Amino acid sequence: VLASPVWRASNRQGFILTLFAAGLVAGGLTTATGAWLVSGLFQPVPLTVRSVALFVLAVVAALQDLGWIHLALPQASRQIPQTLFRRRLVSAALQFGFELGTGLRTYLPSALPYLLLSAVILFGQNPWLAAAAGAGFGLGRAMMPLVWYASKSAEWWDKQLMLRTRYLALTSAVAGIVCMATVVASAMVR
Amino acid sequence: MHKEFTEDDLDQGRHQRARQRLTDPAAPPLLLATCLVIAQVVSSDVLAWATFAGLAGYSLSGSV
Repeated sequence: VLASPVWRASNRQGFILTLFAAGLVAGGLTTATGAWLVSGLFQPVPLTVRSVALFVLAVVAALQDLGWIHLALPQASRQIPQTLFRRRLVSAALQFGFELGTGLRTYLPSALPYLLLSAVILFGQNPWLAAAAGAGFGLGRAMMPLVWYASKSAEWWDKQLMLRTRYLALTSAVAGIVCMATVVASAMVR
Repeated sequence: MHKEFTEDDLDQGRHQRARQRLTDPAAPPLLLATCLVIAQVVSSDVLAWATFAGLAGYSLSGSV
């Protein structure tokens, strides 16, 4: 699963990873821009209705990430095709990063991105908040290959990730609920 | 047979352990959780959103 030819390329690995991260941020910003445009449609919906909807979604996302419920969430059930990597490494890294950054091109094993998208659509009328969400998503997604690269020990890192799966799911669940409570509280104060 | 360790071996071991602590897969969520606390303290909505989005992005670790 972690054997992407882009960030595992042996030569110029740091440079390629930087391009990959830039692509991820660009992809995240693109989806966030789309969600921000859609958010205008939800502005007339009363704040209470939006708040309750987001709270329910946060709880559902937490239960899904903890494995207590198993909803079939909409996702592109395919991997990014290998043909992409037959191109020049530079353009492949950018395109691969962009496609992953949009969050629309391949599997999404966590419910947190759905919650983030819902939050931007329901509460992201401020373009700066939407942009922060898009860039943050891309950077968060880039953290995995960057930290993996910095570890200088691929096998050790992959093993640790497997061992930390439960911890990551718990962190996602708690962070999702805390962050959505913050978003709602902040919107009510404004 | 006892293998004798030199100062260099010990230094290398220390560096490796430090690197492993800093690059543990659990480190990014801890860093982001710290950012979330800072966002609350300084009441920065932009930082809070970016941090939450970072966690959402990192939660996809392991999937391509």
